[in-house]
Amino acid sequence: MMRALYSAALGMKAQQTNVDIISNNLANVNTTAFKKDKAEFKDLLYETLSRADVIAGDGKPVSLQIGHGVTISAITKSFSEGNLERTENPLDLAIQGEGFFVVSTPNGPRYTRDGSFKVSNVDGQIKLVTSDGYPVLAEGDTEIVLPETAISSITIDETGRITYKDAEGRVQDSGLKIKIVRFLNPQGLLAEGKNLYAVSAASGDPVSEEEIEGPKSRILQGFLEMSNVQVVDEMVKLIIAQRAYEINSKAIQTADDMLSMANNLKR
Amino acid sequence: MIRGIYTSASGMILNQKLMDLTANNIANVSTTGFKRDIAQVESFRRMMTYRIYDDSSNSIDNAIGYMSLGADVSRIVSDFSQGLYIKTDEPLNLAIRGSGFFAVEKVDPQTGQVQVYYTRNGAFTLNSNGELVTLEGFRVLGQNGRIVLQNQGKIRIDEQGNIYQDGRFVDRLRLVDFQDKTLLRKIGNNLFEADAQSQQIAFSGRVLQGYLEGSNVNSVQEMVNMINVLRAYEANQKAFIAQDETLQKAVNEIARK
Repeated sequence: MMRALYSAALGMKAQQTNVDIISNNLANVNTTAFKKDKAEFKDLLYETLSRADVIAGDGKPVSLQIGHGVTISAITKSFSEGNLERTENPLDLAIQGEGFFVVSTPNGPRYTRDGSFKVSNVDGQIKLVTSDGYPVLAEGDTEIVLPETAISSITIDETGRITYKDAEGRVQDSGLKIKIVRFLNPQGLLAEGKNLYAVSAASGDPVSEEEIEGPKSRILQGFLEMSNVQVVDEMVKLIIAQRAYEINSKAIQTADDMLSMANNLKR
Repeated sequence: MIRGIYTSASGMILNQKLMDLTANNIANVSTTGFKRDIAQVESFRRMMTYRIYDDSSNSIDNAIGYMSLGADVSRIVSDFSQGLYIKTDEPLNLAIRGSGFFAVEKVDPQTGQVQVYYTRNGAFTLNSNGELVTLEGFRVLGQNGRIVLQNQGKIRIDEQGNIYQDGRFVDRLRLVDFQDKTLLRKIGNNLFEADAQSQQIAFSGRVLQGYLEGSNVNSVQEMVNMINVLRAYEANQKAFIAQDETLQKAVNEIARK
């Protein structure tokens, strides 16, 4: 009936999604290794009321187009690094760089930057697992199985190599190295919740950092990567989104007032 | 009298179009690189009015004068003024300071035809082949066509649009500007389409890495527009009703006796 009504309604809808995204960011401000999301907007189709046409002396040099509102075109994740928090827990690992840990889930391998690992007794073996109990994978896609005495003295160096002290206090190389992979387009990863990501066609296949030349990610033992959400940024975005929502609602009111006047032409 | 009713109606229709335009501007208040639209209004062509059934007249004297019976939107142009810059710190977020556009190509999935479009929205990303693309998946063009980046390495883009990865030159963004930007047509998806007649000129702006250009919609201005439009609409409606009442009197009261 009136384009303005629909355009403004789409504006409200897009801002509502924007607020959903912002509140999810704020809710995850303390989630280890959480990566913030950002809504990207795009304008919709334009309706051409009259085409540009050049007739000498009587042409319209510019076409007459009215847009149809807005939509959210993408929700992009920012993979910037979060602050590091020192925990002094030898099983807490943080990645400095673009890499991801690989964990084995019942649905196949998943990728995470959350290095708050634990040890768990699975089928009589002591394994390195995530907080949700998924085994962490080492190079060669093997699970990380450790002797019982190793847990209190485990050392993981920057490259991910695991060493520990045996009962006599001698340093032993476990022969295991934590696998770190990298993606061409990490923004294409599918966030699955539980701090896990799955590959998609857009992200490209994971590439093990072992096979990459040049600078690699560093693993920091005793640290955790915190969420990269900045509360101030999100609050500012929230205020802008709220006002944008409000002005769109004013546009709906105005369009409605106009329609009501049109209806009152006939009394 | 009846002519006036049509004039008022044309005023209402005009203001409705203006409201549609304002609502679209407002809806895009958060759209990256969006340029607000402004309407230009013109009155209908003036026409000479004559007295008719005037016995005294002999052809020359019976002209009353010119009048114009309404108004309509004559053109809608985009206001290409700068939007404000938003710092994102993402290496693949680019903003243009000054005039100009990024060139992107869209491939028709059916015919395979390639069409080049222009945008100010520099929120780019990489696809799974390492090509620099917009968030819609349209490829961003460099001087040598598509821009392919490696899996790793710090990406630096300087103010002229030269792309470096780990200090190695990759390509230069294809940045264009137009002589007459009013010939650009919006097609949605934050893209502009250039007319065959629009003449390209050298790019004179600067590229800012880690920034995005926000929408140049000013909500205060749009709010004022909206109030103007509403009141103009209301005034036209009142004029319409006044004329209708006059007409009602003429129809129902004059002929009573």
